[in-house]
This record gives sequence, structure tokens and C-alpha cells, in this order.
Amino acid sequence: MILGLNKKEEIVLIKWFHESSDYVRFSQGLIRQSGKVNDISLKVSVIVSNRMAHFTTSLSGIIDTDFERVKKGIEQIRRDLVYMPEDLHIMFAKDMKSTQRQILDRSLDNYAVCSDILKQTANFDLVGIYVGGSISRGFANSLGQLNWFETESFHFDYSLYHHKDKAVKNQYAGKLWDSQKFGLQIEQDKIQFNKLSKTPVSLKPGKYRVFLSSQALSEIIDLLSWGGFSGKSHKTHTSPFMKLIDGNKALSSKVNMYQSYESGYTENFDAYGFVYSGKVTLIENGRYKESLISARTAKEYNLSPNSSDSESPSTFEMSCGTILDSEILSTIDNGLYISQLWYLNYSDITACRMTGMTRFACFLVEDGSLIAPLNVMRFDVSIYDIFGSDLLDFTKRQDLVMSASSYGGRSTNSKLLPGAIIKSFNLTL
Amino acid sequence: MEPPFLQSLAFELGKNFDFLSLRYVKQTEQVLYARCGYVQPAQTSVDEGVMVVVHHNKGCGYAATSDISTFGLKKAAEVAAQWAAFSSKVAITDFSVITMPKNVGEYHSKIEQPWYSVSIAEKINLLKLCSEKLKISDKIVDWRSSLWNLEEDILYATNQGALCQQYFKYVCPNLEASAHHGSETITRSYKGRGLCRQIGYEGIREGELIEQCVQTAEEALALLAAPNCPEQIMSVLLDPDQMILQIHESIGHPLELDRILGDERNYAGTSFVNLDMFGSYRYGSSLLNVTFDPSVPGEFASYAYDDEGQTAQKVFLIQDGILKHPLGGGVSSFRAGFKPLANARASSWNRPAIDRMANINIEPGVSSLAEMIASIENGIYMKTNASWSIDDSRNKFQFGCEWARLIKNGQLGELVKKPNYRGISANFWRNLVKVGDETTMEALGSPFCGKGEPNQAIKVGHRSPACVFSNVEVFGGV
Repeated sequence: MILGLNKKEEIVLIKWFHESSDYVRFSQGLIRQSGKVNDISLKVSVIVSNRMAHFTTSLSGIIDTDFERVKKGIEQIRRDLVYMPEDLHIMFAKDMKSTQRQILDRSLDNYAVCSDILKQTANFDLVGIYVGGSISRGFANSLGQLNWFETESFHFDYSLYHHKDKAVKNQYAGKLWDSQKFGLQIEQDKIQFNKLSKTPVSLKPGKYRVFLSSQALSEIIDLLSWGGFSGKSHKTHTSPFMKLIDGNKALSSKVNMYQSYESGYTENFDAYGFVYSGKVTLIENGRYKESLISARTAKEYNLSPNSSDSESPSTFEMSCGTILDSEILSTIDNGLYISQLWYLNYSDITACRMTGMTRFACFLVEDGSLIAPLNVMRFDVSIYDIFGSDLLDFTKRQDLVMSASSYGGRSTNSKLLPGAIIKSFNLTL
Repeated sequence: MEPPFLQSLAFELGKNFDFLSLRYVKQTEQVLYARCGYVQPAQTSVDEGVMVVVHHNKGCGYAATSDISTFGLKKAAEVAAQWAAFSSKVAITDFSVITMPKNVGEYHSKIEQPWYSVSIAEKINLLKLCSEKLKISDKIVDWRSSLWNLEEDILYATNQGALCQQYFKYVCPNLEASAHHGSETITRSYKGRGLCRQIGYEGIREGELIEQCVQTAEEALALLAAPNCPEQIMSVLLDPDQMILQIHESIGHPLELDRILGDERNYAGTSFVNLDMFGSYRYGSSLLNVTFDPSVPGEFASYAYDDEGQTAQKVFLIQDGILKHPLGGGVSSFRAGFKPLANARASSWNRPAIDRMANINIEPGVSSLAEMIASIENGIYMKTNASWSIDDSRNKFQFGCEWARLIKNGQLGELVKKPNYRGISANFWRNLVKVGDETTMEALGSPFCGKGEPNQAIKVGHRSPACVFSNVEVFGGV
């Protein structure tokens, strides 16, 4: 219906976003807030005579009402387009590659799940957020292409607080809630939880041998994804990875990073109709290989697009190493076990140097044993060191870390990450 | 959505509940943006929806929907009631005994020139001109200018008779230039993306904006050639466009009552502040006076009512350095036994209200900028936030700025790049030794304060003078 609104000379692109999720927020083992969000929106792009403009509107789900809204939006776009300069960087798909992908199992009972959460964590000071529901994304254009992605899933991101700032943090995500599996996970969490009862240790600033869990690495990758893999950032020399790109620096040959369109729980098409498959190798054997290129960047620099407008990974993978779980503590020997990092930011982008904090269940390790929890410490390190000469190895096991972000709506991003042993990690405060 | 209709719907849908509220939000936005000399596609958006909240039988539930038909809102009220029922035996507090406000009133942002009274053609021409003015050298490799306008209507009605109507208009212009040479790239912006106000198109001030393009680009080039900031303990003079970040991270967030009560521990964190500190704890030197002030005309987060209909008034959070009052909305304040501030806020219709800072301001002191510089024997003058990181209790921080000049024996000296400093909030504010007067004041803001589960990014305002802090650990890049 909407695509019928376009004039002969116009190309119309439509991107659909829908989320219907129950969110339940826990604090002190009780419910702080609980409710449902039902959010539908549509982004319409109109292209005519090398000019493009976008209009986004929320939708009510009532066809006549929504049709009028979109019609008004398209009329607005047409008025704006008259004044837009010619845009040489417009690029949209013309090969009409329609796709459909659904990851569904419509038996998620969020009330039952929350009851189970409360039951299984009854003796804990539980803090966290449970979200369960459906997400759909769609694309259509006036050339006849149609792409659809739909999933029903849950994500429980939680902490079990021992005292003050000492807690074990974990997440459980999937399609079907498995009470037994969750119960086993809580039992595993208890092992670290019980160790938090010991008197915490305050460290002096200095360099330490550390294990960074997959969740800690996830925070580092999130920061690197902020322009690090962006094609536009590379071309404008504003990427934090410029020294790697220019060949002035290298990472350890054990470092391999990818954007994967083969796996993941998110759509593989963008707002211009490009459908992505396979893997983009971002870093290979420690050397920069490829960037994430949006349609606009592709047109500007005569490249092929391989990413959405964000030019940051949606399904990130990092290759594993050889350290078994049973070997982690003995390999640390004397150092630190860091389960989470927090609030990372760049202290010197050109040097790819970042600062942040340790957080949650971090421990002092002596002679291969967890001795005591740590009070929080600030670190300041360069990627070229911790993933360079200071990297000992990664773990053999990789964990699927689902994004808990819900700014504007639930994220469907994920990362497959190992843990890492770093020989020298600089703590500053 | 008409206010009387919303009110009558609140009465109708809420007749069987202890409390029901309907918060309608409509946001109309326009973003015009140019990068590297190319005007990007214009983006406009309209986002409209309602948040229904029910308190009943001790529980609380909500349902947010973009279906704002009577049928859609009735369905949403049923869902909210279901969650209220589910939570009634396991809710963190007894929601049925919380007295919710019943205020009636209006608020309008005061503007002179409506945004849409200026044609898109004029705005695009301005962006093109800014682009030309930013590209003053081949070393400028990335340059950006943008104009962002948001108009927000918020109508709030309850089954107890509250009806608050607020109509906001915001404008945020932005300029940035990145200079590159060899293996170094430096970015300089105009006010760190913080020139956010409740204002009309008159806030654009085209002549000033164009002048700033040249200055921004010149400063990026100058910084590119400058040495790195040295590593030393010294006095630090912070301009308002860095003070906003300092206030935000190490005063605003630690005073949010829901953090103190532990609700944010899984995500945004807690606070080094506890409930016993209010009234007696020395937060900063006696020069430190901090207010929650929603009444400043044009400041980004000024309003008459919060998103639970509480009347908003100026309150001292810290007075003469002593901690006085937390930032708590109705529910948190009830739980903690404080008088509520009007700071239960949500980013839009699709998120429930939680304790959020709004305008958090430092009251002016008596020192001019020249006096503050003259008072520093060994120090540094920093401008414009570039980087921010703080621990989950809001204590150990590290911040970076875009621009700095050393100060020696009361004189401004060499320009240095990549100035950073780190410290501990509790000590840092006690080392406040000078507070600038009105001539150094600026009101800035940000639309990107992130918090909450589910996550939400909200608008905040910070009006601050320049300030001097002693004994700060300063360092630079490598």
C-alpha cells in the first residue's frame, strides 16, 4: 500500500521495526518495575534525481491511521527534496534479493519465567533486568524486494549481590526458558559468590598479570566498535585503529576478529536493501584486513558495501586460543582474575589507549588459587600492548555474549568471545 | 491527542484501580547534517505513544504502546494491570500507599522564532557555508556540522485528577573538525556537542556559528602541532564545557536516589553516597553550591512538572559544600523517607520514569577568569570534554579534554594536546579553590545521559562557571 504511493520517477525504500517485549526489573530480590512495551515504527526513504531524504514515524497498527501518517511523511519528504543538493553518495540495492528468516518458538510465558527467577534466586539480593518477547525487522522497496527477520527470545541480565559493590554478574539468553539450565547456572554462580565473603584487597597501581573473561573482553570490543572498524573512520583517519591500518603497529598473530553474517540473532539486510552473507574478516593474524563499509561509504570511495549505516559489528566473533578452563588459574599463577570491566573510554585515541574500571567479581590469584575479592581499580592500557606483545593466549572456549542494550529498543547484537590472559595490565588508581 | 480527551480516558480506564496514569508523548524531530562537504539526507521523524502506569493492591505495572486509539489504550491498561497484579506480592514497596501528585498546569518553552518558520533551504545553505568554513586546510580530513531540532509534547493525566501539559522546543547546533598529519589525528568541536537549549531558531545565531567554524578548525590544526600534555600534579582550571561533565558524572549521578537505594547496581551502578550523609557530609569545599534548578529559562532540562506530575522547583543539593538533598522522584523518596524532587523522568513514552538528574547547576562565585588564571602558579586550563570514565560508585574518575594551555606563575602559556586528569570524587570537590563569577557562566546540556533498565537516554542541563581545583593528577597522550 505504502509502496503504491511513490511517483514513477521515485524509488521508495521502507524499513520496519517492531518490538513487543515484557520488561521486568529486579532489585533486592523483588520487582522494582514490570511492564510491556509495544513499539512499531517505519522509516521511509525517497530517492529522486540523485536526492534522498528520510522520514520515520511510529505506527499504531491501525492500517488507515498509519497509512495517512506515512502519506503525510512522504509529502514532507517531497517538499524537502526540492531543496536538497544533489547527493553523489546515494547507493541502494537493485538486485532484488528477497529473504526471510524467522527464529521463533511462541511458547515464552514471561510471567512463568519471572516466577521461576524469583524462586531460584530467593536467597539472593538479586538485581537485574529480564526481557522477553518478539522483535521483527523488515525491508521493502518499490522495485519489489522484500526482506523479513523475526525472532522471539528472552534475555536475563543479572547480578547476585553479596555486600557493598561485590557481586557476581551473569546473563542467560535464548529462545526457550529452561528452568533446569538456569538452576545449574545459579549453582555455578554460587561458587564465585561464596568467595566474595573474604575481606577484599586493595591493590597498588602497577602492572599485573590478568585473566580477562569473555564478558570483560566484550566491554573492550564495544569500545573498539565505536569507530574502530568503520570504513568512513578509516578513510578520514579518525579510527582508533589507524596505526594498525597504516601498518605502523601490529597485534599478536593470535588475534582474529570478524563480523559474521552466518550466525547471530539479527537481520542481515540494511535500510538500502543490501543483503549480507558470510564473514567480514576485520583483523587477521593481528593485521588489519577489512573495514565495515556502509552503502554511503561504499559509493563515496568506490567500494562494496558490507555493513549497515552504523559501520560497527552486529555479530562479532573473535578466534579462540588453547587455554582450557581448567588451566586458567594455573596459567595466571600470580595475578588477577577479572570477570567484568566497566565504563571504558579512550584516553588517547591515536594510541588506541583506553581507560576503564574493574567491576563485579574480580579476584586476587596467588599460586593459581583465588585468594580474595578485589576493590575496584582503574586501568589505562593500549590495545597494541594487551592484544600485542602482552597477550599470552586466549581460552579454547568461546562464550556467546548477547547484548543487553535496550536504548531505543532491544538490541539483537551478539559476540562470540574467548577469555584472555594478559601478561601485563596497567592499573592506575 | 487533546488534553481533555486524555483526562477523561484516565478517569474511565482508571476507575477500578488505586492509581492510573496516562503519559502521552509526541516527539517531532529534524536532523540536518553535513560531513566532509556533503549534505547528508535530511531526516525527520514523528514518534507518538502512551505510557500507562497502574498501581493497585500494592503492585505496580506499566504498558507502553504506539497504538494510541481508545481500544489500544484500553488494552494497554489491561496489560499494566496484569503486571501490577503479578508484582503485588513481590513489589519492592507498597505502591498503593504512595500519594501521587494531582497537579494541574502547563509549561511552554519560550521561543522567538519557530524552527519551521525558517525554510529547509536556508538551513541547508547554512550547513554548506559551515562546511566551507571548516575546511581551511588539507590537514582537515573530517569536518561535520549539524542542526538538530526536537519538539516534544508531553500530556500527563491520572485517574485522581492530575493534568499536566508541557510543550518543549529544543535546538542543538554542532561543529567538529578533525585534523590529521603523520600518525596523529586531533578532533576539535564547538562546545563539545553541548550547545543544547530550549530555544527556537534564534538559538542558531548564524554569524557566530560561522565564526566558530574557522576557530574550531584553526584550533584543531594548532592542537595537532602542539606537544602532549605533561604528566604532573597541578592546579586545574576547567571551563564550563568540561565542568558540565564533571558535574554530571561526579555530582549528578551519585546523588540519584535510586542508585543510592541499589536499583541500578546491575547496570549504571551505585553511589559512594549513602542516606545517612544528607545534612552533614562535606561533599566539597565551602565554595561549592549545587542546585537542582528546573526554572532556568532556556536551559535544556527546564520544566514545570516531572513525568509523574510532581511540581518542579529549585532545591539546593549541596550548600556551602555540605550535602543536603538527593535527587529522588516520588517512588524513591517514599522508600527512603525524603521529600521528593520532581525528577522522575523518562526518555519517551516507551520507557517508565526513573530518578534522573535534570538541570544540575553550580551557583556562581566571585572570581573572574583573569583572576582565576592569575591565582595559579603551576597549572593548566582545560576546555571541552573529549572522554569520560568513572567507577560504578561514582568515585574514581578519569576525564579527557580537547584543548588545554599550561599556566605558569599566573600567565597562560603553551598550548598542549590530549589533556587528561583523574581523581576521586570525594577528594576532588574538596579541592575546589575558586569558583567563577557570572561572567564565566554558561548553560550547556546533553541529550545523551544514559541509565536505567531498560536503557534510556535523557536530556540534562548543566549551568556552571569556570572553576579551579588544586592538586589534580594530570597527564597526556603517549
